[in-house]
Amino acid sequence: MQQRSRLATHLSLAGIVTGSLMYSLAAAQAADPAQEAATAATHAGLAAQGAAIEQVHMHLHHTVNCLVGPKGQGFDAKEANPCQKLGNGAIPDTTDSALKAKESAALAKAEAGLKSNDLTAARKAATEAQAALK
Amino acid sequence: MDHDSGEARRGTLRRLSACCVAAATSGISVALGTEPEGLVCARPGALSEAQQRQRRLDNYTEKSPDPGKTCRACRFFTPGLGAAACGQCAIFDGPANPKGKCDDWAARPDAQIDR
Repeated sequence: MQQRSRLATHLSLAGIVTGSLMYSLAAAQAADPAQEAATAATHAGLAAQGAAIEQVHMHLHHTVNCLVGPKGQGFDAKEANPCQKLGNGAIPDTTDSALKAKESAALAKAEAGLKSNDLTAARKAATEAQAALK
Repeated sequence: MDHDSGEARRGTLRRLSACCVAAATSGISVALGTEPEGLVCARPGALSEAQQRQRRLDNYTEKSPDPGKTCRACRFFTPGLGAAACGQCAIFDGPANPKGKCDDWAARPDAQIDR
């Protein structure tokens, strides 16, 4: 009788621990694609105002990192990822196809800006990337 | 022998109490915003290379040369506990000095100018 009660207690505890772990994992994986896109747009805007090409490129890298996420093509681990706590990248996390298209367009503009070493051209591309995310 | 160990114990307790009082005073001064000048919020040792590079390229400084443009008055800044305590910068995704500044500074709608 006592053994059965002990077993029931152990099973209940195991259930509680498993439930808590699953809840924690789900919470850790919860993504916020809207915030990721907003952060990408903020950094595109900062790139558009950059005084030097290095500043423009740095913020464009942040834009790309937010859009593609750590597992995405073009992610640069040497640069900061301002969206690391928000999810796996705006494009992979977005389910809405229209929004995904906007984000992909913004990504193309940001990548174009990264390829250019001309300050004016890179800033223009950054402005277009920001506009695409609105 | 017992007298000696009692003395030693009392000495240890006195030192421990002094440490606790010092720690509490320091915590209270930060919380109340009475942290002395020279507060450093972004210690290079606590930042990754990418984060250090970002701050370098953005010309982050712990003390703004312009009292009207400080992190405290920036839209990307979230204040810490107490007016003078370190806060968080959304752009750097890390700590920032309320009296600091960087090139990404943008006025917050409810901006207050430091004097």
